[in-house]
Amino acid sequence: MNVNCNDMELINKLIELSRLNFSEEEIERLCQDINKIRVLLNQVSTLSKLNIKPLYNVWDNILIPPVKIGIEKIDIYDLISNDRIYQKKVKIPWRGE
Amino acid sequence: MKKETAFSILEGLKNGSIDFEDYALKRLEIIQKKDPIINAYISLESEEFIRDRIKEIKDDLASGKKMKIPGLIVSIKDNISTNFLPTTAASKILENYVPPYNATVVEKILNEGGIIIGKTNLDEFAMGSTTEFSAYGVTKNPWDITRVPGGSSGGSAASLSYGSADLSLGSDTGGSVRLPASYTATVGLKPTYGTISRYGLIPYANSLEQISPMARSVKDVSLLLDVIKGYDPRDATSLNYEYKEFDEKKFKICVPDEFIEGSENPIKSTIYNLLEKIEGEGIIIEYGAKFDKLNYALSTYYTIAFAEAASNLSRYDGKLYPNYNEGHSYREMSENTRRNNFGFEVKKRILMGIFALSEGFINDYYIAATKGRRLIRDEILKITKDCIIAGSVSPVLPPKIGERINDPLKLYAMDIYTVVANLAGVPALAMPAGFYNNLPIGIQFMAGPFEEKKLLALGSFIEDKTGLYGIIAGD
Amino acid sequence: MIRLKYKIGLEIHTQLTESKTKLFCDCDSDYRKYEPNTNVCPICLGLPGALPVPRRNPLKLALAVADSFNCEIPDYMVFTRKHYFYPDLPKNYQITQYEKAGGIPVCLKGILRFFDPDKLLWKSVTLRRMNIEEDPGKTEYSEGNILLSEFAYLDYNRSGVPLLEIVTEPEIETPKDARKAVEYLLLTMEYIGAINPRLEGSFRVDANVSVEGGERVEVKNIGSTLDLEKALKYEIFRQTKIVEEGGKIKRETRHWDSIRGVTKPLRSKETEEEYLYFPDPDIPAIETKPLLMEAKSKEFLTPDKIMDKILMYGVSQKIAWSLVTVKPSAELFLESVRIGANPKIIARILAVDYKGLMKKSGKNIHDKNNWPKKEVLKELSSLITNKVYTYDEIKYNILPKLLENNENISSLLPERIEPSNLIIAVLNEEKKAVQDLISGKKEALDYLVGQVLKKAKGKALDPKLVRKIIEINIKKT
Ligand SMILES: [Zn+2]
Repeated sequence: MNVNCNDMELINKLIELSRLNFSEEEIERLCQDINKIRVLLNQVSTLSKLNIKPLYNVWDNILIPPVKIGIEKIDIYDLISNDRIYQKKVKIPWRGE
Repeated sequence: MKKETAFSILEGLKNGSIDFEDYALKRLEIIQKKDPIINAYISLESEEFIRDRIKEIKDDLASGKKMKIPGLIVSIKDNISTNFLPTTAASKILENYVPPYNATVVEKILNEGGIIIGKTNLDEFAMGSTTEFSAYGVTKNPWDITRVPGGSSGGSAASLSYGSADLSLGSDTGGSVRLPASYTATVGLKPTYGTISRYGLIPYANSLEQISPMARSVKDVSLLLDVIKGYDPRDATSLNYEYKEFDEKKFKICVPDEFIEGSENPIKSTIYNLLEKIEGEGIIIEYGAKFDKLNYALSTYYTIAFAEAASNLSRYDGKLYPNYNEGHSYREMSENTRRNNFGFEVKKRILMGIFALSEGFINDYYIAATKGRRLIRDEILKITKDCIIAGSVSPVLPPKIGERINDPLKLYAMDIYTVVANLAGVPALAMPAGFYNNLPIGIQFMAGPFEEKKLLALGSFIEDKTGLYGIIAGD
Repeated sequence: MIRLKYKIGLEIHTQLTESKTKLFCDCDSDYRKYEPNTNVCPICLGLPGALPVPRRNPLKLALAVADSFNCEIPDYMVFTRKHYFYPDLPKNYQITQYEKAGGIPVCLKGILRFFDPDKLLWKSVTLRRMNIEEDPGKTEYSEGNILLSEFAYLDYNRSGVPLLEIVTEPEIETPKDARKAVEYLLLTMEYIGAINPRLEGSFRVDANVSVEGGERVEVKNIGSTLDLEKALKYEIFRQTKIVEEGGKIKRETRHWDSIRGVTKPLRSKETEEEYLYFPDPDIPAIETKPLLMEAKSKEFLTPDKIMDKILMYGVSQKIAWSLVTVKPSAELFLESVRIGANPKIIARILAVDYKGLMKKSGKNIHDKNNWPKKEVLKELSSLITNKVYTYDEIKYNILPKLLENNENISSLLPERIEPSNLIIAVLNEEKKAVQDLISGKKEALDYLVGQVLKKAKGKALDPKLVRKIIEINIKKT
């Protein structure tokens, strides 16, 4: 792609991982925006060396798994149309990838 | 100004001065008249459905069933699952998706006699602060249609503000009900994390967000909170808890400079004026407290939100949803579906989330943010032990449509005061503080975990004092 | 061929087929009995807004397995998300327990002690880790071929079924040991009630082999313990040959082709794998102790404990192991001995003769209902110890009938008759066979014994006694 962007290598890797795609004009804007957002996010990097336990769940709480959850089975065929079903299975294009 | 609160309508429905059917159908009429301009709704219930629903509610009442909101009109943000109306999260990728189940909060509203009139607009997957990033068009601020209603629950706020619903459900990931509340002179409460079931809420950032009640008064918000709260085994982050009782009439409020000083002048003066007005009568106000961790709140918040969002949104590849694009292979199908049906802002956040989680970067971004989160949470817990934090909701007045969305940093900066409550898990209330040039200005209060009753008591006290409740824009 | 030193490590993926529920929802773990896509709910289909709720039973079983291998069980377990796009993965991430990204697994270090029935001794291999995760859905390819097929057909009934991944250190010494170790592991999990290892696709093994001086080669997708031994033998042969010819063994992943009996290189990926692991924000940490206590409230008889019990009754190690390998037979042995049956007699019936009959007639030896009741066994045992019948009389006359009617033996008991008259009659009729026997043809004796038994028409006769009497008669002549 003929776009003026310093981070193109990184952005291409992210695009590949995310299964997204952009037009050339979008890439230009994306590059600018990502640069700006990185400047914002970089503020957090200063904390990486701190010896603090990460907080993943805001209350550090412990789950006692419930005995019953009460969720019922559903009919998958309500979600997708008949032409996407083959012998009751969901038909997805494949060709090895 | 005409004042219309859910409580007053409920009273009218109870004593017969308001007719269930007339009232509900009148809301549909208002929507038909105003929504073509405002665009608060993505999908609407039919007249017939509403008539049937009223019959059901009347039968329940006749059989002696006790309900909290029989006959009240409720609008629901379109990222909360309903099995009777499509649920799109304002994304093309979920076009025509009708969930096969109801969110827990939806079940609760139906069980308490609420009439769900429609699903409201939002920024795609709640990623935004203005409700401009919807695949179903921009929602306009009923106070000034050249301006945004705030976001991401802008549709819910607008639906209340122009009088099409009595109560509304939004979701708040980093200010998504409080910002719109402050831009539309309505009220929004982000409850303590884990006290409202997220089952059925289409996730943006799971560890930060809560489904949140909105209304035109603090008392109405309490009413809705009472309907939707409670432990739910279907959400593993849901807590077995009770909100703390609160019956004193004494409040200590502190106003750290960091939570107000960066705001535009009319906002500062409106808030300071209000605080001055309520001081005394059991309310102590302390100025000049410190909260120096605000300078990494935004980066901490956005890093975590992006990371969780990228993960949550990986499921939308077309294979199990009605809207998809053809492809030669699965890779092509998923790429085409994601390219054509996610908006630019969503794609950008997904990329940044993957960046924050990828090898070589995770320690400096995602993990660093989880450390920052602990620092911020601990500090907020410490401060709120002693006082209720007061400050601005938004640093700016409602922006003009298009004004903020072209620069991500300008857009994200709108959330600076609101993200803190989500990072810390604590409850936060946004309510009207006043007006400037006919534009609403809100004030934010933040309390300790489970102190919703205290917050609501304070809010109720203030709205009685200011008379700023039940306001309908343009009436 | 030279004999190079080599080491084997295993990664065993076992389905907790008996956990009743899936890992994060209440759909059935026994998905095999359903029509495609009818054992699914919003959670296991990963619908937006549905949340994973760890289920108690799969967690308890996983902890019980960890406990039975002396694992270091962390105080908490933490689930993480592993991201990759695949049709069989509804959310495009799998919930697992990856330690390097904040996850905490079920077991951090343990020991798998396993029995080598050929050498009659116990061996062991160190377990590096056990973690529990979701199984994806099941894919069928339109033209059968994973690379070329135009379509993938997906059945999500399996999506979310609990998988316990068990990783050993690379310290197993022979392909046979690898097989025995996995068999013992599966047997233990069967005793705990976690798995039915005979269900199609209930476990899968990835093995890594490194021969002296070469790099580690991983062999994926081995579906049976027999194949495991074959695949490893093949791989060691292949690698040794390369070394012999002066080649170098490069680090790679290969695929086991069970039909052709060879390992084949897998297509190498162009990019490094990037799974974007992080702790699942929908699932708080789970305390392991209360779940483990609950799991242990019922005693788990693992194979080694059962073996010890059986050995206490003076049964030989070989017979004891044979009982242990078939869970209903081991349980039945202990039950009938407890009510007074003779251990040696019962062990021989269960481990050798009755089992042999069941196999011959195609009966499933792992189905408890196909075995006789403990009371029946006790009765047989006392008939023998009280010398009403000999063991062989029971073996030939009663056990075959018991196979058809394992409820009640009184009707099966044969009338006892005196063999002498029958023998004399047969010797008179079968002149040729008698001549053959006299002239030294040993087979003739078997034939004559058979003729006597035939004449007895199902009445009780001890074949050994018959044989003895015939021999005595022949000698007299
Ligand atoms: Zn399920």
